[in-house]
Amino acid sequence: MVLYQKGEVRAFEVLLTRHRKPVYNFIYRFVGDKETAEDLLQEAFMRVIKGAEAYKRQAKFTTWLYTIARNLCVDQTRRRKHRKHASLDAPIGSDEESGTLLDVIPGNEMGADRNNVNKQLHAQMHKAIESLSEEQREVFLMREFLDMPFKQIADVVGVPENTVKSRMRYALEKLRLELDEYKELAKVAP
Amino acid sequence: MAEDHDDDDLALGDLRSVFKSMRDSDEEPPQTGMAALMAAARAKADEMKPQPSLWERFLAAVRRPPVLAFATVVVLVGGGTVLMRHRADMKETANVALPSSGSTAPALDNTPADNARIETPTPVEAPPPEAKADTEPPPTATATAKTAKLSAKERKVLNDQIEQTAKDAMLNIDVERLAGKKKGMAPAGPRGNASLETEQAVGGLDDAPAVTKESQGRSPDEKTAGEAKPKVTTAHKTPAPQAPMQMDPVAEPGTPSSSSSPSSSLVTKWKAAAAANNCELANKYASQLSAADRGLYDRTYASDAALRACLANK
Repeated sequence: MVLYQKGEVRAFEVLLTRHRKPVYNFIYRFVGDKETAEDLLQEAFMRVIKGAEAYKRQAKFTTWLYTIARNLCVDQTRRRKHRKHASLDAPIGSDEESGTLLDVIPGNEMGADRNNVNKQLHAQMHKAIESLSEEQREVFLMREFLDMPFKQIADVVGVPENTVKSRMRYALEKLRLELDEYKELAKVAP
Repeated sequence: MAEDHDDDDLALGDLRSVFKSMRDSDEEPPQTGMAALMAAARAKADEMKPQPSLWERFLAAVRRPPVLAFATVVVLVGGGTVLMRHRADMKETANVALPSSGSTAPALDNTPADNARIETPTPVEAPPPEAKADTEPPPTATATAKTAKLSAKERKVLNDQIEQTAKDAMLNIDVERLAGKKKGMAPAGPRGNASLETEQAVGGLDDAPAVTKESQGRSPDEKTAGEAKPKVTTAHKTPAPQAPMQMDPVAEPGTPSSSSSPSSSLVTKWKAAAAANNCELANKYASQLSAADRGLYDRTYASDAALRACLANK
């Protein structure tokens, strides 16, 4: 980032290549919509470009980048406050291939196919993550999918570290309750 | 990180394997909008590029070939101009220094008032030598040319003055010398005058050519009388008939000439009448002179045969 501040476009290309994928997946899991995730990803990097002059090396670049992405996600979810509850026959993802929630909810019989099991688990996990509150969800995503330490999460979210840990504990508690019936299924998953 | 996970619920270990499998299956984001993103990044990078300093920009501009060529031409032309001007100044300075080598005051000593005085000279009155030295012109082209003209005029006037002064001095020397000779020789009589003439003829007196010239073609008595006069020119202008009167052999040395006294006028008239064979008139003047100055009458009578003849005819 320092090199980019000196006018090196190549440095920004490296940053983009390195962080594009994790940021995109973070946003996607946060907002639950691919198209919105694409737009927010582009907006996040545009903000990085615009604010490049104001960036200081006091903080890690990832902290600054995920702060931007998180704020965009929060703004987006607040704009969708009136969102409807998930429909059972609506597709889980934005694409039609992802299937409906009804498809992934297991019936009495267990699917023999491992892929099918994974698919079921992933869909259930998406559902469980979406059921978390915003505070718990952002902490959980950054902790489990980005491997961020609590300190950095606290910096991104802007709350004390203990608050982050507390939110994480509540998030895991809720997920455990949500996914309790899939505990056996998770054991057989690869 | 591991310690952080220790804080987590260990019961979620099975779920973590699911999270890991989900993370491994992360999707690549689509490439849409990447071109616009990179274009914006390039534009911003150009803005953030540090501007070169003024010195660097100046050096970059100077290194361009047209600027180098222009600078070369400017240096050559300027140097040539300076050299030509310096050469012209040197020539003019040399021209001014030659005629008046003793008065080469530096140009910095000249005040503006002095320069103004140089530029408006009075052609009739020549400045004194001191003022001339003060008004030495600065080594500029115009002032030097004017000063050269002035110097020629002044030189001419000064030469005239010097010649006149020299003539006057020479005349004064002649007069003093002649006066000194007269003091020493008058009592000796014609013999002493003859010695003076001899001395002049052999070049003992290197000056007073007019005196030598006048002394030529005269009798020794006339020469002595002429040299005894303080003013040579007055003797030269004396009319011929009166010349014997001025060469009065009985004149006392150091006394003024007797031609202006009544007795001497009587002597003159007496001699003139005798020379004209008008003895009657001559005798009349003789009786008058005898009554006025008996001694002079006797001396005049003894010295002139014509007078004696006139009296004898009486």
